[in-house]
This record gives sequence, C-alpha cells and structure tokens, in this order.
Amino acid sequence: MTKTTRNPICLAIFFCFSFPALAQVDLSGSWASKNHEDGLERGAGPNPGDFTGVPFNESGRAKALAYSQSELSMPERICAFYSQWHMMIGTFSVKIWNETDSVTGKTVAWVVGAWEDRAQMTIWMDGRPHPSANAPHSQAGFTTGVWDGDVLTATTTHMLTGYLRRNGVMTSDQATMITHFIRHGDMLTLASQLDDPIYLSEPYYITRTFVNTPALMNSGGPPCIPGDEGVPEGTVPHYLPGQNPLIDEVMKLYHIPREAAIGGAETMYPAFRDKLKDKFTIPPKCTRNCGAPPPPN
Amino acid sequence: MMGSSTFARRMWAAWILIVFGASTIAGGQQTSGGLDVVQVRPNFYMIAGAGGNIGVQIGVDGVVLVDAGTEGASDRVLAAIRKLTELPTRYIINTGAEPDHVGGNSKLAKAGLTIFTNALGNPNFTNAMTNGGGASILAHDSILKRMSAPTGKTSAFPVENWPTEAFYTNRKTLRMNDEGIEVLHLPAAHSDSDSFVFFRRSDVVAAGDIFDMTRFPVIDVAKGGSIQGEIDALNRLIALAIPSGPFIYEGIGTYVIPGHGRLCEQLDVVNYRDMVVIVRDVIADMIKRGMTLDQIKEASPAKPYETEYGTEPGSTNAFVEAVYKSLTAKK
Repeated sequence: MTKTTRNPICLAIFFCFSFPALAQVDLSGSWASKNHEDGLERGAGPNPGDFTGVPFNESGRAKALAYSQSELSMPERICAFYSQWHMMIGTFSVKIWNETDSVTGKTVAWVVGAWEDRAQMTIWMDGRPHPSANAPHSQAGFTTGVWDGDVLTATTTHMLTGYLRRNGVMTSDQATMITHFIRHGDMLTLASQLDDPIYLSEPYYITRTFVNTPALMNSGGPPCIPGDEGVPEGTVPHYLPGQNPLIDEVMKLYHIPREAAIGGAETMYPAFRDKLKDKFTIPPKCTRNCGAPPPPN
Repeated sequence: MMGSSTFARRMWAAWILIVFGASTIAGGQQTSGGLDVVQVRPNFYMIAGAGGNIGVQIGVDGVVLVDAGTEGASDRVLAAIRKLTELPTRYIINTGAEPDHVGGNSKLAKAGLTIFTNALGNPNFTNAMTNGGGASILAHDSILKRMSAPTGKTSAFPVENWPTEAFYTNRKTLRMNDEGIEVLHLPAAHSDSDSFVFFRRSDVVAAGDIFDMTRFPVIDVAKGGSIQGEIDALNRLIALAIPSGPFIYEGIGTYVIPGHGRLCEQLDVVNYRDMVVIVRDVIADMIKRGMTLDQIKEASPAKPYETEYGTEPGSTNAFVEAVYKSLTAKK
C-alpha cells in the first residue's frame, strides 16, 4: 500500500476530485467550421416563412409570422446581436481555450471565444450554481459544464431573447441550451438541445462540426455603433396577423406544402415525410440561394 | 501504522470537508426569509419576492428604498435590509399606489430614521415634519391621492402608509449617498399615478408596474391609465437606459428594476415595448375592420405573447379589454 492510499483524507479527496480530471479531453485550439450541415442556415440565412422542423407552440408560430426583417434596423436593436444559440447556427469558426487555477492547475472554465455578433461562452467547471431566476440576463447567458466520459456537456441559462432561426423564429429569455462538445481526433462536433417553454412545445436539436486547424482563430469582434438604417426611433416594424407577404415564398420555391412550412413538432420527425409523400413534387433544379458553397478540400 | 479509530476520524473529517465545501457553493445565492436579494451594483440591491420589487440604495447617508412591498412581507424585508447594512432607512420612494408596492410603507418607515434629526427634540416638529422620527415617504401627489381620501371618507390605506412628502411637478430631484436621484412622473400609463426612480450614478432605474416582466401591463383605464401613455412611458424608459455599447459584451448597461420579475436591461424594455405596440396595432386594425370586443378577444390578438405574459388567469383578456377601451375612448 502506498503512503497516499493509507491516508484516508487524501483518498477521499482523490476520489471526489480526481476522476473527472482523468476523463477530460483537451478541447483547446482553433477550430474551423465545416459549414456542410444547414449550409443555407449558416450562410445567407433561412428563407422567410421557412419554419420546417421547428417545434413551435402557437405563440412561437404567431410571433414568427408577425416578424419583419426590418426589426433588425431598429436603432435599439442594431447592436443587440445574437444570444448564445447563435454558436449553433452561425457560420464562423471558433477558438477554444481553458482557464486554469494558477495554484492547483485545475481547469476553472472552458471558454469558447466570441464572434463579432456573438458573445464569449464561458463554461464554468468549478461547481458554481446558476444565478437566481431574478438575476439579469445577457447575450452570453450563464453556462456551467460537466464531463460525461469524454463529452463536455454545457448548460446555458440566463440568455436574453434571441433568434432560433434568422427568420423570426425566436428563443425566449427562459430558454435553456444544453450543448455537448464531442471531440474525435481532429474533429469537434457540437450537439445542442434548446428547451424553451415560451415558444417551443418540444426541444429543438441541431449539430455542427469543426475541424482542428493550425490557422489562428482570433476571438472577439469590433465595437458596435448603431447608425441610421431608416427605421425611426420608437417605430416597431411587424406584420399584422394574416398579412405577412413572405409566408408562401418557401412553399413556392421548394414546392413545400403549407402544413410543413409552418412548422410544429410533427414536422421534426421522419414519419412526417410519409404524411407528405403525395403532396410533394420535386422542384426544378435550384439556381438561386441554394445554400453555402462546398467546403474547401 | 494508522489505528482504526484514527482512520475513522480522518474519514469523517474528509467527508465533513467535502460536504461543507459543497453546501458553501450551493449557498452562494442570497436568499433571506424567502426573499431573493440580487446585487445590482456594489451599493445597490433588488429585493424580489415581497410583492413588487424593492430597490435598495446604500451609502453614507443611509438607505433609500424604492417601494416597500406588501405589508405582510415587511418584517422579512427589514431583516433582509439588516443583513445588507446597519444604516437606517432615510427615504422610501413609491412608484405607484398598489398594495404590493406601498403596503409596507408604514412598517419600513417607522423602522427608519428621519433626515431631520435636529428636530427630534421638538415633538411638534417630530410629528409634523419627520413622520414621527421615521423615514420619509416620497411620492407624486397622484399617489397620495390614490392612497388617501377626503376627510370623512374611507381611504384605500391607513394614514401611516401615505406619502409624507408629495410633489406636484413631473420631476422631483434629491441627492442622497452622493448620488443624484430623479423621480419622474408618467401621466396616464399603467394608471395616472406612476413614477420612475432614476439613480444617476448607480445607473439604475426602478420602473414600477409600467414595466412588469411577469405579465401584460395592467392598464387601469378607470384610474387614468391608457395604452398610449403606457407606450410613451416605455419609450421614455428606453431613452433613460443606455445599452452596453460600443463594447457590447463588456457588462450590462443601465439596469432596470421592473415592478415584478427579474432584473433587466434596455433590450428587455425594448422587447416589452415592442410587445405592447404590436398588440396595440393588431387591436387597432381589428377595430378599424369593425370587430366587436368579443370578436377581438376571440381572435387572440396577443397570441404571440400569451405564453410569456398571459399565464395569470384573465390577464390576457384584461389587457385586450384595456387596449380596446383605451383606443375607443372618446377623446
């Protein structure tokens, strides 16, 4: 028996604090985004009225239908940018590093660097609790993490209202985002679940993939100073019920039946294709806004 | 070689270390008697759970409170403030005349200390000028009118709860704890007796029930409230607050304490204002198309916001009705 294992205090501390460390994977580095998944979403953005696969509740759908893109030009919103969910639907690459305790060397937090339109995500690993329900919210939100084997699972709360899709599908300030960071060699997959009691009837899931790169990814972005984009102060652009002129754009473009375009939990599942099989005709070859360019070799 | 009793003692010591450490981490949030005390700035707190939210500014002059919560929560509020400071409360500033904002006025004021301490030796001055030696209760005259009644009539609140310093202008200023404080009267919003309280150095605005994160705004048309006044007030609140630009991710700008619900910033007020404007526009369009109030209610004009602000039974209909009445009232 070694001296360490004969000392019960050391033994207890070893069992309680050391095993998670053994399971940790190094996530640090610069990670280039492979925008092959949801290319249109990450590039130009989804078509107006494309709510396919969004598990809306009635409020969520009504809010999306009232949305006008001109909202982004409101002076109060020009610099508001995105909530942390944008990490999953955005196009940029990420830089990840860990902050360590200078005495113990333990990882206090994993950090996913900011983009110009998304705040830094600090994933606290030191067991601190999430703030109270009455604490303020921010674009960054508040994130804690735990290792589950080789997978880092991060839970984000306290986000401000943001976009689930950039066509008016919203996330509320009561949403919870659970993101799994899964590293396989030089590949990093993020799998995220969004629970939102305000706008969704079921959780929404999305994944994205990055590849490790020697190219340095800088974190952060320029300061934001709002200019005049033509929407007068105090004006709130929106569409009245039944008057959104863009609602049938995606239906015409892709021959998608209305019941699929307007979303709902049912539209997430493979079985929904059976329901639509006689209502869908393949559209002509796409010539415009067909998604992101193919990834470089 | 370690004896078995020594081993057991050390095991207990190890577990106590681990358990104590864990409970210390879990106890990091400030709760006091079921109240949630949220630190806003180094010298500023928000107490939630006592009815309406209470703002607490602390400095060398003592404590300035914005609103007092319900009467039933007063003892717990006092205990929570005592945990923050031993300094006496000097002022209570009311944002409105609802029981969940002014119910605790009397108890909290009596537990405080007047700023007119040089008059304490004179009983006439004490009673007439200093609220019996307690803290002053400052509010717009419209709040005093809502809480009191003409002689011979029954008032909504006992006289001990009434404001002791009422002002008639649209803006009242004072300087406490080396900070300029503006009390801004908003006519015809949630009712005819609403105020914002703006702490200029702390960069905190207490908004009262004009901004309620837990429900649609309660617009009391019978008491002088109106949808346009509510929108005007929210626009003014947005103008008072500053977002965290140009370095948008470095902290939060102006903090806004809503009448109820979590601590907010400007973007939260923008979202709330947008909701009120959009529902107003939808109902105005329905009125223009000749729809009756019942037909409008049936058409769910506030549908996009019902899961967020309409969970309290009847609150959606009450809001729709108030907007309808406000829009159809004879000018």
